[in-house]
Amino acid sequence: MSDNKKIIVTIDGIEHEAQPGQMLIELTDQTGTYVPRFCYHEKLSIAANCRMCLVEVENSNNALPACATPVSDGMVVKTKSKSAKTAQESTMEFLLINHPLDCPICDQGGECELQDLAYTYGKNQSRFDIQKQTKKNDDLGPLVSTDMTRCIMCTRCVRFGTEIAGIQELGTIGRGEDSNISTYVSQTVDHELSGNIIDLCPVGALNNKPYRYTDRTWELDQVESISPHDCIGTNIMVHKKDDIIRRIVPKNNPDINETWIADRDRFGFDGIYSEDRVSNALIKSNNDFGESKLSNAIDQVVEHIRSCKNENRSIAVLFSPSSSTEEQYLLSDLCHQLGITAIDSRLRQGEFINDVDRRFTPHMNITLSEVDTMKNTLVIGSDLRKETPILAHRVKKSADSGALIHSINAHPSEYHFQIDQDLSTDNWVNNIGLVLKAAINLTKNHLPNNIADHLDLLDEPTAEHEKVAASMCQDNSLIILGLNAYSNHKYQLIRSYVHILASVCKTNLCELSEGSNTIGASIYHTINDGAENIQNTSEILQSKHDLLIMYGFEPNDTIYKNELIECMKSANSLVVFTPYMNEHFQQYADIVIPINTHYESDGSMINLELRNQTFTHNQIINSDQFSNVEVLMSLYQGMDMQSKSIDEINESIQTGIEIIMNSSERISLIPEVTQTKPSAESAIEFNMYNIDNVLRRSKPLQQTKEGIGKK
Amino acid sequence: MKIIQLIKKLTLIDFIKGFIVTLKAFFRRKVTVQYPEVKTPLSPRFRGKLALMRYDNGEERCIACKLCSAVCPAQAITIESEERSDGSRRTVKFDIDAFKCIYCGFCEEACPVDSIVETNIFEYHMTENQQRIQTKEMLLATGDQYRDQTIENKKKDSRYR
Ligand code: SF4
Ligand code: SF4
Ligand code: SF4
Ligand code: FES
Repeated sequence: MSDNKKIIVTIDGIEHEAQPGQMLIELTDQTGTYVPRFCYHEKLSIAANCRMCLVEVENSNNALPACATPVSDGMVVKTKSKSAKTAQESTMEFLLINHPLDCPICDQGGECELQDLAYTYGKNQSRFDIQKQTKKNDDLGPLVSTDMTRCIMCTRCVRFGTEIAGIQELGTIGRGEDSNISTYVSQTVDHELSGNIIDLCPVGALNNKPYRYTDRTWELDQVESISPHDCIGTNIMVHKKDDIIRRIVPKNNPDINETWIADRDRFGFDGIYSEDRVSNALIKSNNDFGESKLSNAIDQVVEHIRSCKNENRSIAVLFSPSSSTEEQYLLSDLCHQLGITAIDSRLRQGEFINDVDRRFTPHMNITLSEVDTMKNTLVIGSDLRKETPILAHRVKKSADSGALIHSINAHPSEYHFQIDQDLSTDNWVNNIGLVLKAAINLTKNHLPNNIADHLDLLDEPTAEHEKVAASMCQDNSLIILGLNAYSNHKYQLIRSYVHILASVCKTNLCELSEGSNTIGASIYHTINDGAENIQNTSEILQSKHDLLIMYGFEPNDTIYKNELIECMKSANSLVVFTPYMNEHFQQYADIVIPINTHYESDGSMINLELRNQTFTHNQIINSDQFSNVEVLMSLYQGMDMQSKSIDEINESIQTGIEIIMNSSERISLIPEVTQTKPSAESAIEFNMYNIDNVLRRSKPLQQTKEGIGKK
Repeated sequence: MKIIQLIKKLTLIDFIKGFIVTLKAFFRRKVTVQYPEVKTPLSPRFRGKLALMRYDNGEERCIACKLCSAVCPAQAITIESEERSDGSRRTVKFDIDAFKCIYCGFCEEACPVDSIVETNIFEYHMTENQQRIQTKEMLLATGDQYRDQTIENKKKDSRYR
C-alpha cells in the first residue's frame, strides 16, 4: 500500500480517513472516540497486555485490542456495541480481582485511570471470594513511593525504563499471577527522569513520595508555569492548595518537553519552603543584623549608591542568570543609566578573554523538536543527561532512530544510548581542534591565516577524528556544546573551534548556557550595543569595590566561589538581594533585602531556542511581600530615575530576540592569547541537584544518590 | 349570596364551630411535653453533634480520605493529613465548624470507615465564637463519651441500610 493513500475506517457508524499503518486506538483518539486503555501510552511502545481496549471489528470472531490492531481499508469498528462492552467489562472484572480496595488512602484516588474506568465498566459486586494477592514493596528511593499490591501489570513503567530512560531499572519478575514489578537488585531509581513513572502509572502503585498522603487531587488548583532549573524552559503545572505548592506535574508541550519533566523540575520546588528563607529586610549594625522595614533598607541602598556615585567610587553588580528577563532588564538599565559598567550574570562561564559581541550569546539555531530528526550529533564538553535531561532525551530519540552520536568530554560520561566515537581524554580540547583540522582537510576550505597557523601547531588528526569530522559534514548534523565546556578555563578556545567547525561543516549548533535565562540577561546588551566597555564576572571579581550588589544567587552558584568570597570580604559595603540566608551573607553582608524565588514571581524567560515564555505565580505568593519587580522599581524611585514600563521592556525583549535570531554569523576568530598547544586539564564536577539555591535546599532531591554525592 | 352571609354573621355559626374544635381538644390526650424537664424520644437516626469514632483497640478510625470534606455541602470540614511514623495515613488537623454544619449527615454517609458519625446530642452550647471550631481532639472526645449510645443507635438503624 502506498504511503500517501488514505484509507477509510468506519467507527461507530461514522466514516473516518486513516493513515495506513496507524493503530486503531490512534485513530479513535484523533477522532475523539474514547476507547478505555491502561497499557497503551502514546510515547511508549505497544504492549497490548491489559486488554482493556477491546473493540468489536466486523468480520472478526473475537473482539480485538484497539491499541495493537492496525487499521485497514473498509474496516468497520464498533466501540460501544454489546460485544465490545462485554469484553471490556470482563477485562475490568479480571483486573479488579486482585486490586485492593484502598482508594480512600490512595493518593491516585481522584485521578486514577482504573478508578475512572471502574465507574463505567466495573460491576458493583465482586464474584471473587478467595483471598486477594499481596505483593512486596521495593524501596525506590526518596522520590517514588511504591504500593505494588495496586499494580495492574500494565508494564508502562518497565517500558519507560527501557525506552525512555534507556536503563532498565524496573523489570517484570515471575509469571502469571506471581508476576511482579521490581527493581532487579532493589537499587533505587536514580535516573534523572525517573519521576515520570509517577505520571505513567495508571494506578497508585508508583506515586510521588514527598507528596504522599498530604492532599487529595480535587483540593488542588493548578497554575501553568516554566521550570527554572535549566535552559530548556520545561513547561510545568504547579499544583497548589492554600497558597502552598503541593506538587508539580508536567505540562504537555510537544515542542519542548513532550510529556516528560526532569526530577529536579518536579521536586525542586521544595527548596522554597526551606527554613533559611529571609522574610524581612536586614541591616547590619555592630556586626549584628537588625530587622527593618523594606523601604528603610531600600533607602539605605539608594544612599550607598548615591554616595559611591558622587565620590566616583566603584560599584559592581552581579545577578543570577536564572532571574526573569524583566528583573535582569531593569537591573541592567539601572546600571546603564548610572554609568555602572561592572555588571554581569555569567557566574559559571570559565573564560572571558576576547569575550565577543553578546549577539553570540549561547543558544541553538534549530528547535528542540528538530533535534529528534538529526542524523549526526557531536556532544562536546557535556554531561548532557545531567545538564539538560530533556535535551538528552531528544538526542536519545534521534539515536534510537539510527543517528550517530559522538562525544568529546574531559571524562567519559554515562549515556543511555550508543556512542559511536568517544574521544573523551584528558586532552579533550586538543581533540576538538583535531576534529576541526580533519574537517578542514576534508572540505578543503580556505581559512584565515591565524586559524591555519594555530591548527598547524596541532598534531595530525587520527582516523577517529576523521570519522567524526566526516559525520559532521553530512546533512542533518548537530553540535552540542555543553556546560562542562562552558565552565572550562579554555572556554573561548573551545567555542572558537566549535563555531569554526560548525561553519566549515555547515552543521547546526546548540550551545547550552547556565541557569534558566542567560539569554534574557544578554538581551539588554544586545539591543544597546553597550557591551564593549562592560566588565565581566572575572574582571569584577579581580578588583576591589566600594559597593558590591549581589542579586538572586549565593556563592555556591558560581564556579568562582573563593574569588567571590574574597571580593565580598574586601567590598566596603555588600548589599544582597536574596531569598535565602547563608553563612557568607551572615558574615559579610551589610544589607539583606528579601526577594521572591522563581516560584513566587511573575515574568518571562527565554529558553535556549529563543522561545520567550511567560509565567505567573501571583497566586502562590504567600505574604504581602513585594514582588521582585516592585523592589527594583523602588530603587529607581529612590534614585529619582525613570524606569521602563513592563510593556516597553517586553518590546525590547522581542527586538533583542530578533537580533539574536537573525544574526547567522559565527565566531571566526581563534582567541589570540591561547595560540599555544592546549594542555591537559581536569574537569569541573557538575552536580545536577546543586546548581541553584532552590535545588540545593530541596529535601527530596538532596536525599537522592546524586544529592548525597555532592559533598 | 348576601343573605346567606348575613344569616351566618347573625347566628355566629363560625364562631361556635371554632369553639367546638377547642372543646374537643380539651379532652384529648396531651402531645406536647414540658421541655427540658420532660424529653421526647429520639429516633436512632437523629442527626446531632458530630463525633469521630475509634476502633475497639483505641485506634482512631479516620484514615484522612477527605471524602467527608469533599461531600460536605456547607464546607464545614477542614482536614490536613500526613503519613504517620508507622506509615499509615492520618489527619493532623480535623476541624468542623459547628456554625457552618447543617447536620445533613452526608459526611457520615461518605465515610468509608464509619469514622465520622452524628450522635444524638443536640443540646450543647458554647460561650465564645472560637469554640464553634470542633477540633480533632474534641470530636474524638465526643466519640468516646457517647460511644455506647451511638453504637447502639447505629445498630438499630443498620437493618434499614
Ligand atoms: S507499577 Fe504501575 S506502571 Fe508499572 S506495571 Fe504496575 S500499574 Fe503499570
Ligand atoms: S453534617 Fe453535612 S454539613 Fe455537617 S459536616 Fe457533615 S456533611 Fe457537612
Ligand atoms: S472521617 Fe471518614 S470520610 Fe472523613 S476523612 Fe476520615 S475516614 Fe475519610
Ligand atoms: S491498551 Fe490495548 S491492550 Fe492495553
